[in-house]
Amino acid sequence: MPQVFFNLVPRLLEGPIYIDISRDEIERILGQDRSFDRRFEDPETGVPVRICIQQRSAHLESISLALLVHEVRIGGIDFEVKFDDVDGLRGHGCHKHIWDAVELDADAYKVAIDCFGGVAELREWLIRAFKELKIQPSGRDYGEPTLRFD
Amino acid sequence: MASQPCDSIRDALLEYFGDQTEVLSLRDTCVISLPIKTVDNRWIDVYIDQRMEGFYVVHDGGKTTGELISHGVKITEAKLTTLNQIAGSFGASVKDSTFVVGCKRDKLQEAIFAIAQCASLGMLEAMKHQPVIEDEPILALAGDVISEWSDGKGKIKRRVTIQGDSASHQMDFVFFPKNNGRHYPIAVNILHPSYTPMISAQRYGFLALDIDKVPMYGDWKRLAILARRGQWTPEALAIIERHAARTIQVAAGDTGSLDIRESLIQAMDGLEKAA
Repeated sequence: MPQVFFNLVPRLLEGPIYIDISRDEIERILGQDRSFDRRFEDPETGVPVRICIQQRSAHLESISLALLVHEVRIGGIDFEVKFDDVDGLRGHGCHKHIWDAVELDADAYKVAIDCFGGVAELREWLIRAFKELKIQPSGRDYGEPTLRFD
Repeated sequence: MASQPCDSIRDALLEYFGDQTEVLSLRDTCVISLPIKTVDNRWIDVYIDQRMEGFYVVHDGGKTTGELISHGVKITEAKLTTLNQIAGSFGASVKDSTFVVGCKRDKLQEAIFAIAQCASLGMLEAMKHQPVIEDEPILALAGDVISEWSDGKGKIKRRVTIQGDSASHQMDFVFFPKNNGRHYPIAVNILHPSYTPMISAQRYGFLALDIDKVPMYGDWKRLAILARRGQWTPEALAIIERHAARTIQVAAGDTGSLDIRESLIQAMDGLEKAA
């Protein structure tokens, strides 16, 4: 019988969401592929979580991060010139996607965040985004893309 | 309708358009937010880069495919083809997952609307998307790897039920090669030791013996993916290895350690050549 994890999403989002990888490795993969897409299992809740980070251009504003469970967005960070926030008010720029326990997705509910004070480095963006979403990398490095020692 | 109300409607519309169109300058890029919404209730942003004097590259910043992925939609070759067809309809193209069109200054407005229409129609896939409830993370992971591996080689079908000699059996994945005259399908099953390794192994053995009696399935190659390495007894392993052309064992624990990509691709390559 397939196990449905949506009931555990609020608990998962309280964090920390443990992912078995290092932030350095995520940064390297993003640097090479412009995207990072991996599945993890949060050891505390047992929820399988997929993390998709996409950097669509050189601008850090173009990075989006989505957390997915059962191939549905449960949270994330994104950027739009204008958006309608959770209260129906007009927002601008960076925002966080909020879990809607009725619709069972985080696509529509958005709240503005400050774009991390205009950080200029990808590493800094990741640190701030992981803190915002309570994502805790294990620090274990699997050496992808292949580490070069020359 | 008299001409005066029509003019006032036009004026009101233009005023609305003017009020609701916002522009953001991101260093060398202008981003225009239009008063047009996608099916997922987003305002459409169009990016404009000036490449040389009087020439512009207009694009969606990869936002459409990015949003589809964030919604959980898998961008398959078929979906990319659809996006390309949408782009082609508006004189644009898809490059690096981005709707893009180049134009001179006098065609800029047209290009902006072309990209906006691409971005709007491209999100239709999001409407069809449904949650995917998998038994185990390993099933999703194996599905991703096999789908990627099969690209251009043939078709993958999930949860295929076939009728054996005395019972019906479910295969987690079956790969059907393009050239069915020369190669045979590959059936992939994910086995779990949780019910006891020996019972899982015996069930797999029964599946193999039962479908081998049906001529059309007798030539299928079988791959068994064994979840939770270390929990299988040697006797259970021996049964499975006798009935599967290849076996892969996957570490127990979190999905971060479920690194089956390389071994699964190797196994599929080997079975495809042997088939």
